[in-house]
Amino acid sequence: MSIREIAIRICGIYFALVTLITVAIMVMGLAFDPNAQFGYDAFASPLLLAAVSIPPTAIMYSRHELSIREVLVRKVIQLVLIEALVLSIAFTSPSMPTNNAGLVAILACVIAVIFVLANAFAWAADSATARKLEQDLVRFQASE
Amino acid sequence: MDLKLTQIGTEEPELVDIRYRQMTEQVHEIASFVRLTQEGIAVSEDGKLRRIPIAELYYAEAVDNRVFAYTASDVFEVHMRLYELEQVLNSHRFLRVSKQVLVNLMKVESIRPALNGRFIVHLRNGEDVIVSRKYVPDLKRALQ
Repeated sequence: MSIREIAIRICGIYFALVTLITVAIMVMGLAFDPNAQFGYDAFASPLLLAAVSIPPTAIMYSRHELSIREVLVRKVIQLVLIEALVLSIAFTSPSMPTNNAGLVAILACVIAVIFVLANAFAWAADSATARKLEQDLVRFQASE
Repeated sequence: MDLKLTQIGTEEPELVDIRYRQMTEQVHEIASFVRLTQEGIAVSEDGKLRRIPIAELYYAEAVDNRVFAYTASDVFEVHMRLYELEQVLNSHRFLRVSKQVLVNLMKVESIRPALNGRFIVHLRNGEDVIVSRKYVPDLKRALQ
């Protein structure tokens, strides 16, 4: 893959994460602290959290072809890294009541749900690409 | 253009005789197709060398410094490096889909997504071949 193609893929993942994290913050905020008030700097949170979630995707790159088992193992490691990074940010944030174990557990679950949804969106995009490739394949084979 | 088929005995050589007034694109395509079905690659089977028509090849795979060519139901060893075979087969609608595999695009039945940005091409003989993420752009370009 060229640098351009890698950059496009990472941008797609990044903005999908920003959207999912924004929705998650809204849902969790409305559920646990509906009267909280923030300044404009709060809009940076989804951008920062999504940016922090991107580097662990590097674990999926490999020079040799990964088996399905290797892919799944690396996905689990990727999720663990993202959980560690996001939770460490949460623990340094003054607005996050990290002494509440239940809330921290819910946050960890939400991170996992976002991870699964982001992968599901990537799968949906790949499915659309596969359908397009099949259409092109039919045309290609008919023209040859 | 009329078509005439004549069944002959085993003692006579098979011949395709194209009679044309002018070398049009249609005549050229028919001639190219006939030439294509006659072109083959040398393979070894049980220690003996034989020639396999390129049109019968489904894919070629490099394993442990050896290259194997797969037809609908057989596998033969090819005494060439994969990159050398790629140079021979490039003009015959074969495409490199991973570091180890060349696939005949005319033998692809369907394409579906796999994990981690890869795709699986399902061949007409029932086998599946993985398209590495790195080679997906090449597949898109080849089919356009």
